[in-house]
Parts: sequence; structure tokens; C-alpha cells
Amino acid sequence: MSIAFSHNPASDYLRVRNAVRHFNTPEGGVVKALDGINLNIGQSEFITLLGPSGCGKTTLLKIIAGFERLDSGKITLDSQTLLELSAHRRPVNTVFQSYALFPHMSVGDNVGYGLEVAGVKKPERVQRIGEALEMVGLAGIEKRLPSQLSGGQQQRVALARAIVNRPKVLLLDEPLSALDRHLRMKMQIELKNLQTELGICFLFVTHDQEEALTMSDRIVVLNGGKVEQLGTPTEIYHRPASRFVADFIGESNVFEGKVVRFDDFGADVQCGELLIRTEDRNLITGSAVEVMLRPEQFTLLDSSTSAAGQQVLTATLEQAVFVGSDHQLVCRLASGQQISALVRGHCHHLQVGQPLQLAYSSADVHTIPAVF
Amino acid sequence: MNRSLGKTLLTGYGWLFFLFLYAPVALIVIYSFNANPINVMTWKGFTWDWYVGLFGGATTVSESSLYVDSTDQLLDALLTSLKVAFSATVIATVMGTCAALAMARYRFRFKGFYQALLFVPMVMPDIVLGIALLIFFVGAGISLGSTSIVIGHCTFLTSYVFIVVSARLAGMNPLVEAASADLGANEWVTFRRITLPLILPGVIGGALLSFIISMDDLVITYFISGVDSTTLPVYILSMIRRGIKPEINAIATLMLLFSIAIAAAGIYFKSRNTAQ
Repeated sequence: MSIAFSHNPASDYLRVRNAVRHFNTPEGGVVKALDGINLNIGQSEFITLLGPSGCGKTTLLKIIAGFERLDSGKITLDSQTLLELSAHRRPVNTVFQSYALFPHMSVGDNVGYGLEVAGVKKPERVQRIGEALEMVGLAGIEKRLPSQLSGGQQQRVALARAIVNRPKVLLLDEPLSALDRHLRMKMQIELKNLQTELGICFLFVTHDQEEALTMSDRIVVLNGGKVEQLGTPTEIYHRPASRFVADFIGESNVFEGKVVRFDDFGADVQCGELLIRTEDRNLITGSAVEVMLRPEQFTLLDSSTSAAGQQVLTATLEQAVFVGSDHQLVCRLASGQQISALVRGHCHHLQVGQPLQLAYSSADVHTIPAVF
Repeated sequence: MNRSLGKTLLTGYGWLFFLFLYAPVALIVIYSFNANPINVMTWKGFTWDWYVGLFGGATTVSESSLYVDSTDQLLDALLTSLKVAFSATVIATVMGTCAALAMARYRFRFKGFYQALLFVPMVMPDIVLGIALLIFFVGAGISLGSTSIVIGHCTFLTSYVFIVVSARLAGMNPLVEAASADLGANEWVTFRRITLPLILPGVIGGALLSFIISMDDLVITYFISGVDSTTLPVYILSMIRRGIKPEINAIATLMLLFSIAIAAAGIYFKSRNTAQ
């Protein structure tokens, strides 16, 4: 019986239902930190909560950890209601942005703190501390004090201190934001590997979209206390559900327009003077949409390349910036709209003011229902 | 040229400043070894007699010239002072630390008002506090004695502990307490394992400060001490009424040494670990 009831579908491990949390500002206003959030998260998923500051991502993390209360709504973890438990009874652990290591305890005591509080005997504790430190690549530094470690090492100790308790969910509150770029990218990969190895759910908060795209199984894009989109990095990047997501993740060229014709293979969207072909279905003639093209979806045509099977835009080059392997081209269409294209290869022959032929595939054109 | 003149003047001023502060103290220490029993300020020769006399030892000076009526009384007063200071310190340290924790960690109505109330005893004139306490004790039917002195001292010592511990709490990352809760520790375990060790230098510093202030307090204690509970400062005052005698210099020197030792310990504990 109990076996049958303890079964959890993969994406039902952590459930957030209609989570609402409003804050009163000193000025008498109300900030909707969470405004009816619904989430279903699987047992071993790497989930990133992504959004600009003030979108509610950290509030949600704090509520799951037990440091903040919910006005209304429900959160269950592994079929267990979380909200009635105080923070120290929840089977979750947090990696804090500022690490929050205990400055008066050695690294070993820091990592072993949760085990000691839980009553784990010393021999087992010592062994598990060693394993956790090894997992984060810091074997053998048990005796040192946190103040004797670098920022990156403190970060790893904070991680070890959390995972040693084998939490059901590991909460990470922008843990990489204090590290330099090189170390941050290294840690992103290590975190992802660690999560795969442990097989537990990671709930990672960040405002850095690149970080989110690199590590996550799925990304939750939050804005103004609402979920804008929940999807895999590819879905979020190529099929943003809203203009906000399109603008927030990566760079995008967005055209506002109206569907003028549709058939079984896609639709034509009139955006001012431009007619853009998309392979998106389910569009109805007359409906207002926004059309999105990523800068890297353009290719530059010259006399030697043909545009077979491709759509072509004509634009005037305004600026070309060399960004390593690619060139970032800022162009202006005849309609006056500015577009950005990222093209590979040599572009030294290009001159400002020169007309360019930018080709794109109608399969890459993504449409977003326009909201007015 | 001008610059070096200014520097010389400033250095001179610095020395004069310290001379002004410490010359009287230095004189007391020097004259506590003066062998002249009649005129304390006329140097006659070096002697340990006053120290020996304080503790009832045989001295070369005649018995009549000693102002300490009996060593027993002096030691009684010292014992009362130590007992009062110890009790008041323990109580004030616990209350002051609790108050500081409450102010630093919780939000509640009239918090600013409570905070102001905690500062008031420090700025209130001693004489006002002394009279107020006396009226209170008499009105409440509490007999004056060691207990009333301890209660009286706690009223202002709590403020000192509160301020020292609050400063220490302000420098502590409150997230470490959240981290402790996150790792499964309840509030008591968090306090014992995390908060207390981190604020301990402040708590010990506040306790030592309380101890010296309590040992040293004269004005308030004078009002609220009973006949059989004289503290050392009150006793010394009564000795001085009958003229300044060399023993007083000796007592003052001993108290000075004691205070310096406690203050040094206080500074040591207050500054320990603050580098983190």
C-alpha cells in the first residue's frame, strides 16, 4: 500500500501551487514578489530560476528553505507539505550567495555541522566530511579556517557543507556571482557534473542567462512574481513564450506585425514593409504577433553565395564590431528599424553605409503572440 | 621650517596632555611608598609599610598614625565590593546580552523606544539614579544592603553590556544563523554553537567592563548601601573624611593595578577574532 502511495511521477517531486507573497513597501505600496507561482519539478533535475532582480526568484528560494513565509499557496516535497515545517526540519540545504561559513569553525567542522546536529557519530562523520570535500575538489583541508581560504575555495566548502547532508533539494542562491569569470565558468561545469553524480534536485537562482543556459535541465524564467516560461534551455532560447523572455535571454531582433496569410506549412507575417515567412503553425490571419530572429540566424550573402530556399532582407551596414570569432553587424532596414546580425568569417571588406543581403531560414523565425 | 615648528609644538602638546592626565595618578603611586606618616606630600624615604599595614602586618610606624581602623573592616568592604561586582556582572551580562540579541534579531513594536530606554541609564546623572533607587527601595520596603546595591548596579551595567554586545552583533553576518538553521540546528543549538561563540569576545568584554564599573561606583552605591554593606569606594571615602593618609595611596595603587589588569583583559577579549 505505502509503496503505491509513495510513488512520485518524475516531475512531481517538488510542487509549488499558487504561491503568493506580497511585501508592503515603506512608501505604502505593495511589491508582488510571488504572484501565483506554479511549478512541478522532478527528483533529479537541475532547475534554474532566472530573472532580473526583484522578479521573486530569491524569495521563492527563501520560502522553500523556510526563511520566508508564504501569504497563500502550497509547497510539497516528496508528497510532504513543506510550509508547516520550520527551516531546521526541512530536508533541503542552501548554498548562500555570501557562503555564510562559520568563521570560528574549521573547514571540517563547518562541513560536519549538519551531520553533528543530526546526531551522526564521529567515525561516519569524518568519513562523510572527507568524501564531500573530495567531491568538491578540496580533499584534506579539514583543519583550515574559512578565513584562510580563497573565495573559490570558500564557495566549494559551502557546497560541501550542504551536499554532505544528502538533501532532497539543494538550493543555490546566486552562488557564483562573487567569483571571477574564469572560475565561474569552471564552477558551472563542475556544478552540473556534481548534480548528475549526486542525482538530486538542484534549484539554482541566478540573474545571469548564460549561466542558466549552460547548466540547467530546465529554466524557470520569472518576471514580476510570475512564471514567464518554464522550459529547456533550447526551448527558452529558440521558442521564447513572451517578448520579455525573448529580450531577457540573449539578443534578439523583434518585429511587430500581423498575420496576412497562413497555410499548412506556416504563415506570412506583414511587419510594416517587410513580409516575413515563418514555419510556425496555429497562426490565424489577422492576429497580431511579434516575430523574432536571433542575430546568429542571419547569414551574409555576397555575389558568390545563393539564397536558395532562404528569405532575404536588405539592410544598410551601420557598424561592424569584431567579437573574436564572429562579427557583430548593426544594420538598418529601409523601414528604419535597426537589426543586429552575428556573422562568421572575414568581414574586413565591409564598409559602413554599404547595402547588405541578410539571409535567414523561415524555419528559424519564431512568432510570439503580441500582447497589447 | 614652519612645518617642523608645528610638529614640535604638536609633540609638546601631546606630552603635556598625557602629563595632565597621568601625573596625579603617578604621584599617588609614588607617594604610596612615602615613609612620611604625617605629611603625605613630603618625601621622607621609601617604605612598604603602608601596604604591609593594610593587610595587618607589623609596621615600623606607630599604630596611632594608621588610619585604617582595622584591617577587618577594609577587607570586609573589599569582599562586599567583590561580591556585589560579581553578582551584578553576572546578572547584567545575561540581561544585556539578551537585550542586544532581541534588538539585533527581532522586529517588534516600539523597538526604537526600548532601544532608547536601554541607553538612558548611561547618560542619567549618577546622583539622580542614586536618589531614585533609594526612594524606590524605601518605598518598596526593600532593606538596603548587598542585594539593593546589586539591583542598583544592574540598572546601569545592563546598558554597558548591551552596547558592547550590540557592537559585536552588528559586525556579525546574520546569515550564519540562517545557515545553521538550514543545516538542521534548532534555535538553541544555533545560539550555543554559532551565535554565542561569535559574540563571546563582546560578552566577556562587556562583563569585564561591568565588573570594573561596579567595583568603582561610588555615588549610586553611597545612596543605596546599608550600614552593614559598605563597598570599598564608600569605605575609602569615609577614610578620607578624616584626612588623607598614606594608606589611601596604597589602596588606590592596588585598585589601579586591579583595574588596569581587568581593562587589559577586556580589550584583549574585545579585539580577539575581530579581524575575521
